[in-house]
Amino acid sequence: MLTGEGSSLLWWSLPVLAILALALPFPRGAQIYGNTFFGALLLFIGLSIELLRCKRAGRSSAAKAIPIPQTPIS
Amino acid sequence: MNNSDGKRGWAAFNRRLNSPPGFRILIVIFVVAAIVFSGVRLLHYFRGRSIMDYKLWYETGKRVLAGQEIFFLHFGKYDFMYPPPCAIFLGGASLLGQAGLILLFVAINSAAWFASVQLAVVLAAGESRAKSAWLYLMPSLLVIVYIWSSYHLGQSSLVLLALMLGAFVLLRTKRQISAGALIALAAAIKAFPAMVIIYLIYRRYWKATVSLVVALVFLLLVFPAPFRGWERTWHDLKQWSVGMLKYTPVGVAQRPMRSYTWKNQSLVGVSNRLLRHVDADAASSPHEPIYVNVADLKFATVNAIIITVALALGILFIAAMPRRAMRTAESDALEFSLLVLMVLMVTPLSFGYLLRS
Repeated sequence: MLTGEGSSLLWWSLPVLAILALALPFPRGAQIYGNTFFGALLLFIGLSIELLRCKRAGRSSAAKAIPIPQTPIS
Repeated sequence: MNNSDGKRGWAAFNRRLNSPPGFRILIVIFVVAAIVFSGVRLLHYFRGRSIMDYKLWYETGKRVLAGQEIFFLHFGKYDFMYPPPCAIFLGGASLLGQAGLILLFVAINSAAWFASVQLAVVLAAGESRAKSAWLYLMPSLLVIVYIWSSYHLGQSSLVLLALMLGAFVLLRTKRQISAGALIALAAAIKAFPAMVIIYLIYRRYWKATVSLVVALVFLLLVFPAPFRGWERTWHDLKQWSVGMLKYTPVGVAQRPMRSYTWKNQSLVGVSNRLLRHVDADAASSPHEPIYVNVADLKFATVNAIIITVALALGILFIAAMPRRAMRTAESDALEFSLLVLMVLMVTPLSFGYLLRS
């Protein structure tokens, strides 16, 4: 995100930050319900989706790079 | 001020921040923050206030130097629960005296913080030369409270982070042997980074895997021997592993009072707290128990849920990983981030200060 390569991570990071920030007004209350764990879990899901997107983008660009074999003219 | 004025102001600020003087200011801010964090910790010591875990590190170091037992029950638990090589490191550090040990550790913490920032930027920005100042600033800013707690408590989390990030950079640059050794060093300080071996095997980093195993065996068995003797080294390792490999309805390893309380943010801690009737308060003195469970399941059922969730996370991770030939700097940065998150969630004891990674 900070490298300017896509903003979708921002949409995952904001709720994660909000969940983590709950510990500022409610240090014990937020942590008792696992705010840090659920924040990490949400970030894990977001990053996984981003990595899947990278994987698909890599696959499609590789597919474009492979020349289509020409059928010999009989 | 209208919208375009705001945009112009922001653009000017961004330009200034990303200029050479802007970077110099960032370095000055870092140095000032590190000095303040370190100074406050030292001041606490000189004023006779609590020095948190630094006291335990010093006492453990002294025990090592005196050839005494490192792992022993004190109020039903080990006070020191890190691997034996970590105790040997502390033995060396305790030679400096208590103030010297604190000074050394805050200096190591500052160096590890600086290294973590640099290494994270290398991983995130890849080969790109134009690295935004925000890349250096934002991660530290977001977890500054946790960074402070690392200095305050005397925890090694920043050192572990620097070692793991260093290992990832080395893996990217195909220096697998050094990468494995760095992970082993992290695991010798606190055991849980050893879990990364599963990733190394899956990704077929064979040299890194062998290096990790060899270095870990060296650090666990050979390195302590000159200081503790072979018999004592084996005894220490046995005591430590017997004490740490414990998982019961009452608690995990050597932290029975804290395992399922709000301080533990791991999958094991949160699942037990929310799905079983266990006290969620971390106070060790007599207190009114707090229950936050939304269900009252059996211990075995909770464990089945924990295993299922951990497997689901692992499968999601594997599904998201690109093939070796398709890997890029960007995909590697995401992959390593996922690996760190996975390790932190799955490790049985994950107290708040670890989650800064």
